[in-house]
Amino acid sequence: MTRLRSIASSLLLCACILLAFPPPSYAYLDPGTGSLVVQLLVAGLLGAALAIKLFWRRIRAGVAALFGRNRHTDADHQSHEH
Amino acid sequence: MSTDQIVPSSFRDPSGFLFWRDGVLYRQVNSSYREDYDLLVSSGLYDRLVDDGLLIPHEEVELPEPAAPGAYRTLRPECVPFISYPYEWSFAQLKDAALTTLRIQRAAFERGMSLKDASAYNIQFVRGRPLLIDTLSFEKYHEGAPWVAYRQFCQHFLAPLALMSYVDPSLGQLLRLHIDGVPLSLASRLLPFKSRFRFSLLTHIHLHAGGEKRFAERTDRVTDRSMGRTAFVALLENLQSAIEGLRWRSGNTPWSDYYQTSNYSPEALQHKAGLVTEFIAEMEPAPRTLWDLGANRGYFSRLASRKGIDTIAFDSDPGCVEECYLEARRDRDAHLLPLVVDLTNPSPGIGWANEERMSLVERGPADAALALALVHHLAIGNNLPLGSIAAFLSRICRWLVIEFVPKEDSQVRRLLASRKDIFPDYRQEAFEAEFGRCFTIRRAAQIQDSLRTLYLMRSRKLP
Repeated sequence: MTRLRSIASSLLLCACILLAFPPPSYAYLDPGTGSLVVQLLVAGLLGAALAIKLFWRRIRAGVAALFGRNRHTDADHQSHEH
Repeated sequence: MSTDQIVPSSFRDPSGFLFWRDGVLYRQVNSSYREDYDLLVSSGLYDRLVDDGLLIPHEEVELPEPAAPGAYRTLRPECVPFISYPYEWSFAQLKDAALTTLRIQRAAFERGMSLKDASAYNIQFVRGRPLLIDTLSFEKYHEGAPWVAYRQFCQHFLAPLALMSYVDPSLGQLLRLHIDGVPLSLASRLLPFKSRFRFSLLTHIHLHAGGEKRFAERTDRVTDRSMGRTAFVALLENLQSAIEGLRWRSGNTPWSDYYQTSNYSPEALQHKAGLVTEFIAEMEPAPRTLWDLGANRGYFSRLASRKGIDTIAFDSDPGCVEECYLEARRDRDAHLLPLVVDLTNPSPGIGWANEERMSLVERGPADAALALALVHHLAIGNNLPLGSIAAFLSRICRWLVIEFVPKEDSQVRRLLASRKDIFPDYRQEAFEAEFGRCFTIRRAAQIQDSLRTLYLMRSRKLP
């Protein structure tokens, strides 16, 4: 339940970041309106997943340290392909 | 009076352009690109990419007068021996070019820059490895900015690779039809339903195509939305794993088992290889470039590339070119570049004014060419008169090693098995007479244990 809430809040945070700051984007290449929308959504989703993964890894490391164990996880080698 | 020739493909980006002056290729950096160019150098990105073999090295030079007003710098980039195009690459070549683009983008991102384009045409194979040839592709990364080249990357790399992997390797040819990459709506329609079960293809191709259509009419400034650094990195990582996850579907292509099924005995093959080596050694001056026409997996091309001759191994079969490239990559062969080219329909000049991408002939002539076990396919398989073959070959190479395969040969008999023999002129005497008009025949030798003859010729048409 706590995990679900953390995922939901991360996604919300991402969406807020996504819509917050106005960066300049002056390129000779037209990135395409639709393509930009898709990129923002997909990258937001992937970014949230990455943030959660990094956060989760830190918690696990913290717990492991608490119990005096130093376990290596294979998370370092996992790709973000779902 | 300036005699500069501006390279026709160099018009899209206002940051600068390429031009030829007195036989030397230069790149002008315009004042509008000053800040980005300085950052490329001062951030250490240029040095790192050059050290890693990912970017073409250049020298800054002073010219008496710039090629056009508004010059900030003039660069003399290292010359690329042979320009090839993505529609001539095999699956693994396009995949390596895609991964190189992503490596460059990640290196740029670490140093506060980003690629402002991700065109497959900006990648060239030099010394056997893909590298970026457009020094002006970088711009300062602005916090929160999305990747402006995302769509281009998907169109130039991900979509054709997915189509080659899921549908057919020959679909790389779609890049010849669509000069700015395969439209995502087309890729989405052509890909099988099962491709939607891969998250990366579902998002970067199918949803992307849908999004383009759905949001095309939006007029509010989407570019005002921001994308965080973590999201940017996650996007690049996902694109990388998407590309890495695409596999070449093995299975015999028509020519990939040629050496096993051809009528050469091991002795004949060895004798032929010996003759080819001997004939190449007799060419004067020693050739620096060689085109192997109908190279299959490049067995004979390697006789030249291993001597340091820059060799292009052309074949129309993507399976052969794939194997040839993988072997060359494994051997770190710096002088062999295999390409998918059908000689009966070689790459034309395409793009604006037919000048953006050069035809195959424009990229020649080569110092030498090999046409081994080829002439019967052109003359009988494609109904080409011998005189026409001789005329074409005499325009694209100075020296030619060519094999004549008579009608009695089992391979020719196979070609004639299902059709009427309408080739009364396909005889060795006629071959020598027709080629004698365009070439001087220097040597002829029968290949042991076969009915075939190998010739060494010098073009009369080229100096």
